Amino acid sequence: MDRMDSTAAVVADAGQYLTFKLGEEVFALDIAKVREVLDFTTVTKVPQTPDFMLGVINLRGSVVPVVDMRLKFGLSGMEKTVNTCIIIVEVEMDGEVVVLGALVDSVQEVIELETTQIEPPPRIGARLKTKFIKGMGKRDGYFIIILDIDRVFTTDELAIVQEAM
Amino acid sequence: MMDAHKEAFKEEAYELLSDLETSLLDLEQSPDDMDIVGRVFRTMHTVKGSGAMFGFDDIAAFTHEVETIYDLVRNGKLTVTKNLIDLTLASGDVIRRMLDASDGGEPLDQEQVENLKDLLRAISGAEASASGQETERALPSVAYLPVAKKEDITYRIRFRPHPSLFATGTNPVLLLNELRELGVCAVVAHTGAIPELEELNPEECLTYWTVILTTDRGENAIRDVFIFVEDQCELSIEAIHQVDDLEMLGREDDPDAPIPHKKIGEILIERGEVAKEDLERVLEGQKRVGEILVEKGLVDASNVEIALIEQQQVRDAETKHRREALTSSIRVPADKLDKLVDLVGELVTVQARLSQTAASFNGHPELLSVAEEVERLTAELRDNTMNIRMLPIGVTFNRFKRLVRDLSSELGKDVALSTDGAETELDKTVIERLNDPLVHLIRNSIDHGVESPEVRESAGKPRQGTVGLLAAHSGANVLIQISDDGAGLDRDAIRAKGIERGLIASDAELTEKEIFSLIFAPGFSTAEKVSNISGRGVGMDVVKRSIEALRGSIDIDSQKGVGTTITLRLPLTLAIIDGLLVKIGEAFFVLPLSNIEECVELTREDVRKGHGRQMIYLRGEIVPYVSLREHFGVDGEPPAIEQVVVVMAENNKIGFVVDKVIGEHQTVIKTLGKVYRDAEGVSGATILGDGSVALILDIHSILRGAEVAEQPV
Amino acid sequence: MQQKTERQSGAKVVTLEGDLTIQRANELKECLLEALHSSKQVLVDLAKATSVDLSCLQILCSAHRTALKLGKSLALDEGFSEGFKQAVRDLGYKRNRSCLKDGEACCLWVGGWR
Repeated sequence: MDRMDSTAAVVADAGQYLTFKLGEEVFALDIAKVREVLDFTTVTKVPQTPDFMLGVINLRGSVVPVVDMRLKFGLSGMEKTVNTCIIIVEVEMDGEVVVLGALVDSVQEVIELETTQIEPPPRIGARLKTKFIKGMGKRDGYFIIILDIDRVFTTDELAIVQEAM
Repeated sequence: MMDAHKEAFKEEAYELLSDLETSLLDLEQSPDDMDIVGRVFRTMHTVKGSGAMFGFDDIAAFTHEVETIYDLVRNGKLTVTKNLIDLTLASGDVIRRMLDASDGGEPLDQEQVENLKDLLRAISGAEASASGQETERALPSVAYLPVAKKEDITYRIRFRPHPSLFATGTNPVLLLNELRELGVCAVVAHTGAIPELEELNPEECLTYWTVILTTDRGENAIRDVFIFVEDQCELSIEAIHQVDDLEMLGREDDPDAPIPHKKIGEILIERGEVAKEDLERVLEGQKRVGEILVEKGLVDASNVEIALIEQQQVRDAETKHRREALTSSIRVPADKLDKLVDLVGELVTVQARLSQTAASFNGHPELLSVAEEVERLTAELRDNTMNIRMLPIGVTFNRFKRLVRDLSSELGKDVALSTDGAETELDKTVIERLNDPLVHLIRNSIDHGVESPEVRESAGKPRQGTVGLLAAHSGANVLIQISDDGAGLDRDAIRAKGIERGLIASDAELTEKEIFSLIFAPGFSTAEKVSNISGRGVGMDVVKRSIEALRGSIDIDSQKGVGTTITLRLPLTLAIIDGLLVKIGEAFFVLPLSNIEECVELTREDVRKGHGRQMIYLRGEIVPYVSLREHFGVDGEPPAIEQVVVVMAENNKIGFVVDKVIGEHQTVIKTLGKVYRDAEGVSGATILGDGSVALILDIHSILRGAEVAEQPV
Repeated sequence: MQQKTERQSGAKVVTLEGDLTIQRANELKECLLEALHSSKQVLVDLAKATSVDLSCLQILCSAHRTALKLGKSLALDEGFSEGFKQAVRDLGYKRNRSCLKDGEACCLWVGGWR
């Protein structure tokens, strides 16, 4: 079932990626998943939900949930800066397309990665759950964590009742 | 393209089947009513015809059997019996299942279908073996829904004045024009009797007319036109076609022939203009019938002219009828409506912002007036859009007639269903989601409420029990009442059960209402033995939750020996909510206005007086409250004076403490989506004038949460 | 009611003016009879006819038949008055095809009559 846990034969495809930063770490998202990037805006917290579930925003009349990626990935929370952004992504959740916002420290750039620049995700050693990682991009001597956003944003991962209230 | 037609057929067929059910239940009440028999026949005829047209051969073949029977009934060769009604109802179910099956539903038990067919054939006297060929007979036929409307009838009027007509000063133009006023009218003069000039008496009327008139005014209106020339003419008036007339659509000899109109030859024979043999003779040639007949000198050309007009006019009447049936309602996929509602919702939000902005530009009269105009238009647009989604609840009521009938015979009870307010309109979604709770409540009424005929008789009640369904508007709400004249709720039994289940303390003093509301507790069931109809204990709590999910409330009233009435109070629409905007910390929330009783202040002094118990005194009444600030874990200090919003929940007053009450707020409800689906205490969100999001609170869910938190585990 | 012979074609033009109702029916009949006897081609001009009733249409129809029988022609000049057109419509004389006694082409009443 879990292809990442088998041999690391399947890695991220070559293509365009949007990179963003959480602390010092650089992450990448398949550009096809990204709908738009918003400046930070007022987020309405839904009471009695986990901290990483930041709340909801008004996206042109639709109510869209926003996830704090720092908290989701177990990093400490940080003050909002002028660079703080919400990346609006479309993910598939139990067969339906769901629009979600991902709060990140800053958005970097859109990059092109060749197959040769992508390595399979490390089996161990990463701070993130391995299944979140689609591959490691190499660029100018540093590593970019290519996220499998469909696996980060799943019903289980975003379950709001996981903590006893 | 074909698929779209198929879908349309299926949709129509489901509708027809529910009509059928209604008709059958009516028929059971008055088995001699030939109008209803006709209705049943027509329904079957339509299902069969269009079924065959769209490739539902099994449906066509099966429906044929039922149609045959009702054809016999229609012709007085069979009478309506309970058995027949039972069989027909079962047949309706089979057809519905055939439709389901074509959608990938469960396949049918063929044997069962064949059995039913045999039973039907036993009634119709048809041979129980000739199944294979039935499909072939089920040719396409014209299918349209009967529309309740005065019927247009097409008449053929022949008016042949005596030659002396002019002498009395009568002008035929006036008569003809009077006819024209009655409806769609075509006038053809016959000039065949006009001689050559030498023989012509120019002061005689030698012309006669055939008029084809389609009207809904009836034959007498036509006769009235000729009332003054009655004795100076030969007049014949003949109805030649009635829209919806089955004698036209399916004549006895070939009920399946596609005949929206008669052929020219037929018309001429019918009118005696030409002998049948002559027609058959010329039909061997290949030209158009009319031309041939004229050429061969077998018929006067003006007669062909009229036959053509007649044909055209009947066709037109059909087309018009169908077009009217089409324009009077349009089928629109529900998601298109939902999209429209969404857009209107956005517009409402933007408009609120516009109004706010306009108000902040002090003294800009032009901007203000534009904003006001937009506000007015938006409100109108919103109301209209919501209105489109409204459906009469009667659709659901009809379905329950069947339910009541089946259940009461299953349980050996005699129960009549009375309905009132079927025309009451409710949002489509509300109606859809109301179905299951209503089914459950009706089942309960019949199973637990209404007694058996014997018991009723010994209690001095009529043997037949009544279950009543009533719907009515009440402000922004709709009330739905399910009442029965049965045994009523047994207070003591409920109380005992409540104690047994640990729902109440054994010494608890409860009001009647409080006792009755115990039946809504999860897992509560007082039925001593579990029947397969209700009493599985999954009932009332589920009903209550579904009603609350619709932002409605449920109320119970019962008197032992007299009956039980359950009242549901539901919002007209789910798309818009009348709410109270409140503030806690920096966040805005909306409380549904329908539950709110009043707002009062809560000072530190009040809090202190409560001695740690969260209660306030409200005109001598003790009202417990929940601090939303605490409940939601909002950071920061509450203001010195907080506000308590007092709501009615579970027949009790309960307060919700907020920092500040902003005011009433009518708002469009947005769903929070999949991610927050399980969020406690919140039922949706709304977008405020400044573009920020406010959450809509679900007071029932908050209360449940608060109760769990309070109870020591 | 005037009759005039056209020089070029030799056709007789009968100009019918004013009310053509039953009161003048006999007069009309005689007029057309005379025209048919005196010419092979008769053209009836109805541009100035005001009120027209059934008797007039019957006479024209009869005249047409007579012309065919005599091997002559009788036609209506195109520029009809409104009154005439209305009578043709109201009395149901309008035809889409010629009646049996006429040849297909020359029935007086085939046409639009709008």
